[in-house]
Amino acid sequence: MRGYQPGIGGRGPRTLSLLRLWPRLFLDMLPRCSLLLAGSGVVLVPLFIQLRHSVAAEAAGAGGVAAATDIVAGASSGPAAGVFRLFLLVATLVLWEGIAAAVRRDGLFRMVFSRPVSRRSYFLARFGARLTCLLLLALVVAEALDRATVPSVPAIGRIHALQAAVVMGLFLGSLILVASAALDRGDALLIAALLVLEKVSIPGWAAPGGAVHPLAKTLLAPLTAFEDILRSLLTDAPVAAGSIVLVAVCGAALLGSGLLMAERREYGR
Amino acid sequence: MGAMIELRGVTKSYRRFRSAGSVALDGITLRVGRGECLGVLGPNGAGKTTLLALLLGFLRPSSGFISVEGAEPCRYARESGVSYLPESIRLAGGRPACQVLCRLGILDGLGGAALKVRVAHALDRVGLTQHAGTRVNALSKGSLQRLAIAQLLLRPRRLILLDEPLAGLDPFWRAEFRHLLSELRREDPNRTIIIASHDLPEVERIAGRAIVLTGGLLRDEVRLPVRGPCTLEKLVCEATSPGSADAGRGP
Repeated sequence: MRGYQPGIGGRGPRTLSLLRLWPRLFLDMLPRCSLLLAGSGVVLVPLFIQLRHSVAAEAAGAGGVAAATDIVAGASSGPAAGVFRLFLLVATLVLWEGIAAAVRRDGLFRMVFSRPVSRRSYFLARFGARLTCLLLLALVVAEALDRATVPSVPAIGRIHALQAAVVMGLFLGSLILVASAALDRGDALLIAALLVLEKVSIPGWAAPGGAVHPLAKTLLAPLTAFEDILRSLLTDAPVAAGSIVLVAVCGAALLGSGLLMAERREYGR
Repeated sequence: MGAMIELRGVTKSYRRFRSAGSVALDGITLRVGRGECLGVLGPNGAGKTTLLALLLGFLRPSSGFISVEGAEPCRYARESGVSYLPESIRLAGGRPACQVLCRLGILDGLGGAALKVRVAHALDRVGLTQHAGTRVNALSKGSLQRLAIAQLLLRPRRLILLDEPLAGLDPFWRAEFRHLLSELRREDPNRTIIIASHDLPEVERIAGRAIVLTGGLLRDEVRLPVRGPCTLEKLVCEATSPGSADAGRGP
């Protein structure tokens, strides 16, 4: 330990730019990205091809090969949108899992938060690294689905794929951030369970006349709007401006709350 | 000597779901001056690590007041940074030692050539230059502890908190560590060091004053080195013995 060089010490930068750390946070996510790509390669694309072939077989039975090609071209976007949406959902859950909780449970906070780093900026950098991963994965999977469908008709446009990934990452990612700031384990699983529960519970909350209970409708409005936006992005269906505003406001509120919770909560026990 | 750290009636209790909480620190009042080196002694579970976590702003006191250079601890750490050596070191196991230090250096505000130079110097100072490319999980316990010391040296701060810094170090590196601490203090006489340890002889060599915690209470406070027939070990044993429960809450 000889040759100690004095001259550096004392007060550091008040607000540290985490831009230099960002590429490393991004690289941290590569194992999960590889897992997701392998998973989508093994499960999702074959599933999509199977769906496409079943549509083609039905069409061929109805009107021959020419008719089948037309129908497949039209029907490709339906299965592709479903498969791509499922991929985005799983990818977001896997990528965002432990975004705040892992810092706590792995003891990383001891090394990071004793340095002049804003906790909010640090978690925002982690969020950004995950969002970038999701965007890249969305492009790759959209390309794979395009190649698996009729060449002249892209299943999912690249711009639409990126937009859907941004919506999914910002809204669902923020929801996981909130859960992760509150829980030590099971944050993404909790959100997955809530999403499933929402699908199951909506019919159960329907009033005897068939309409959904007003309270349930209000509570689930952001999720419904979120689904609407995703559907419209992936199938070119029109979307109400109110849905976009609602999802944007709720997403921003969730992201802000998640960052605030991650910043304010105690670490160390 | 102005106070760098001030604690007044600090209590920290951990709440547990569906069970009674435990009190980790109870009514601690303490002042640590600028440039002082304070030893924190006590048995396992005495509250030493909790005290350091409060000073770093990782935890908030349940009651009482803490300030570090007049600021709330969390704010002080965010703005000025604290050189902290944790008891249990959790470093990214799969990465080479130099990469781990690079990451921490970036968080210290270093970059470019300065970062490389500081990482190389830190590794050199703790004798790990030849292990720069070795993955952290392949390092021995002593080497890992030296790597943790190296991360302190990337950018030593005004406040240094050390939790069992000598664990796993051989006598040679213990001596080197003492030498390093004295260099750090010489470089900036206002640098304040708090060292929590079970190693009483080493604390006696490093610190000028020590407090004894047990069961979350501040039992005793001594000037170091202890003179006369009474040893530090004896003092700590007396303070932490069951019969000392009514011995008061320190000075």
